[in-house]
Amino acid sequence: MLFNSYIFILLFLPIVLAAWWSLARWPQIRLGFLVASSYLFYGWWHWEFTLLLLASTLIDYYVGLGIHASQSKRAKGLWLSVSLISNLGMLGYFKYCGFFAQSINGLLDAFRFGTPLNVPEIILPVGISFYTFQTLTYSIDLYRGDVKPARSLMHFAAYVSMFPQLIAGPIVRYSDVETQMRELGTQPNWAEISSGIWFFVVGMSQKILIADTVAKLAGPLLAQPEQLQFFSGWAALIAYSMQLYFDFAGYSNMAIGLGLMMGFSFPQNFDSPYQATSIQSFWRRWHMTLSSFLRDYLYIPIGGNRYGKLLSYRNLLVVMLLGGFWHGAGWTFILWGLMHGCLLVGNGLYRDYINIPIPKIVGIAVTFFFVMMGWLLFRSVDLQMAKHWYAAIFGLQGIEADLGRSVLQSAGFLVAITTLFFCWSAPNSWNFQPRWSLGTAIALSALFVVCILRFDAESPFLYFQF
Amino acid sequence: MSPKHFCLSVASFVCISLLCVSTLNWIVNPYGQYSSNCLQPIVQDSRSEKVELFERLEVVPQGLILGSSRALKFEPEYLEIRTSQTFFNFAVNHGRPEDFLAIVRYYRHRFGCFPKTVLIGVDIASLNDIVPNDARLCAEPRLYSLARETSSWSDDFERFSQLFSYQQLSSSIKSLRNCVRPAQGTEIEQKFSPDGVIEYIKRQSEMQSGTYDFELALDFNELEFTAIFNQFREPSQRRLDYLHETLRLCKANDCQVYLFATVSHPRLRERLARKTKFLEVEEKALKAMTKMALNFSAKFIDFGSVEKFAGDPDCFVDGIHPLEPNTRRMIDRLLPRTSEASYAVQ
Repeated sequence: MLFNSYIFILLFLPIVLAAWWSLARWPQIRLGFLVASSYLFYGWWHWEFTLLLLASTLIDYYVGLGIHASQSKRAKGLWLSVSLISNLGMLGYFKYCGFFAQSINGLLDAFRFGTPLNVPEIILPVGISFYTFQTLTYSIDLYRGDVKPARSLMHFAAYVSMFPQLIAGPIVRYSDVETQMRELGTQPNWAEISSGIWFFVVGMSQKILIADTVAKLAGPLLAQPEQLQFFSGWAALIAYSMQLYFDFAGYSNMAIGLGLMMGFSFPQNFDSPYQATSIQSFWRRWHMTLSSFLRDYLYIPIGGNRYGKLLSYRNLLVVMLLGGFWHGAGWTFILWGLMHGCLLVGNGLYRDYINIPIPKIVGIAVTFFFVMMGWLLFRSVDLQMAKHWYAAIFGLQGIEADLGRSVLQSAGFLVAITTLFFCWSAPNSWNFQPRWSLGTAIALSALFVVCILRFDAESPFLYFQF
Repeated sequence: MSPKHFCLSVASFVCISLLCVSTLNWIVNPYGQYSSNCLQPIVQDSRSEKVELFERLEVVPQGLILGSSRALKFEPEYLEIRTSQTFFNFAVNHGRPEDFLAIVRYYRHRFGCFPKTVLIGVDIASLNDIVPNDARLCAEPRLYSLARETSSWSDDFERFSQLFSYQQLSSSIKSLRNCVRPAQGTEIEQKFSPDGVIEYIKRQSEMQSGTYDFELALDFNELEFTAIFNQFREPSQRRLDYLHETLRLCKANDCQVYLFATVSHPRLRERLARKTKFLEVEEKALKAMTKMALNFSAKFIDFGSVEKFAGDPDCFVDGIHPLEPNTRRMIDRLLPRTSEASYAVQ
């Protein structure tokens, strides 16, 4: 089920919110209801995959109990390996099996051994990358002694399946919601619900009014990358950069808003990333919950910056490479990760050895340029498409005879450019504290209604594919 | 304002606005989907129009032509020459298997018997699971009531939710504006002859005058079908079940069925094959239809590409709608003048 669908807004959400606050006196029933509605939400797409969600939940819940009950480090480690193998195995099978088979075939074919492996057509369960990471963080945190085990299976199932953040994050750690789950509010906190409405409507507007509008420019242009030229190539790149940001940030804001409406507070996921003055700063602002996950569960365990500069650069490369691969099973994602790893290393070298201050505006422009170069790889379905697109933006596929007038004067491009300047100058929605006045209520309602009217064209979120 | 009053205000404003929008859309009913009929619907509904034409027929047709808009140019007259049976073209825009079942049942409902022959043109794209039942089928009670047991609550919800859509709101406003200031001299784009065959009045006159933009039409088809085939992996079991039931019903009542996969322009096929998994899906759908045709002794021919019936790529209105020279060639293949034994079964 999509947040931007009639079934969600007209039926699911009102029923779930009403029942959630009506059941406040019975916490177990309430959590049970949340789990059931979250499974309904998830299973709406393919009910069979709820079994996968259930399996991941059961495995990590019992692994968690095992880790907690174990006395020795070795026993704890054995329990943890069960969680790692099952979660990463599940992710590996559903997400990477086809890619590996295809790559091995490609390699063998290059040496004239044919293509002996059958490439399995496996449907990727939506959100699997997110909830497997969440259940993993629970087991790892228990192993490290950072959290206590979940109070009951119902608590844990509610944490894993909570529908606002189930499909595309933010990646919520158990420690983020542990206390909130134990002390569920019995009375609606209207200030929190008001903030929730604010975040939800802002997020929905970002998705429907901005991301979907610029997508109408980027989509058709990118359908035929070999026909892209200089101006159309740049227009598509700017439009896609805006689409991706507003699509994902919109989803995150909606998820955070829904959480607040139910009394949960989720971590911030975006902090105006296009205002970043360096790549390092970009990764502190873009998909923040993934960045902190990679830092705490990968970068630091493999050494972080504890063993000198050279090894810390290597660690950055490894983390970003794996981060790229997490986004998708394809060479373009691997290259995207590698590119960001190199940029972070370059950023580190500059900071460590040159460190000449550069004006903020130059920092923002240079960072945005490299981020866009990365988005090009990120969006390309294969290396061939990336090659055409890069060639186009550097003028190697020609320059439009009309100097791109038809593209640059389109509504999608005007929206993309306007929002780009908005991204560079406006405060983040987290730093904006609206006044709860009649005017705000009317403005938010009007925005919300306009968004609902635009639900007729189904438009899934880009990050659902990860 | 307290946060509580703020929340209640937002909820009230949203509910009131949505109520106003939905009431307006329901009253104006621009697509003729709801029971209100205060104003004339602004879109052509080929289902209702075909039902009207069918009910006006003086002679009971012995055969039916079913399909989507791609089958609208199949001429009953030409079929009559070859079979000595009278036909009615009951193909409808976006015709899908649920429409075929409803129409066959409607024939029986109207005449108390089944047709002797039915030609069914199936679009591969119509076998998807992405698109729900066409709202226009749901809006035509004479057909919808006969397909009802195969429709789901989601169709009804879909119709309900469209009351809140921007597209419907803008059409309602357009409809109201037409009502206040009727448009003068609006050009009729197409019309149906009494036997159900379409006449593309505007497009054919543009073709004759050399002003018709075929490339634009092809690009439009490409966009539409790329979107469909990008999400389409397997033929929908639900839609195959409708087709299965149609064939079963025909066979049980001695009605000969000629099933065929409809044609696409070679350039559209090439573009779809390059950008989507069209060919894979087509193969799966053809396999399913071949099997089904064998089970119910129906004749099945794949007319997906022009080479299959020696068609002419220049005789298309756009990427998917063939003109008479092509539909006649398809009929020649389906019903050759030679003996029954030489019918092609692929």
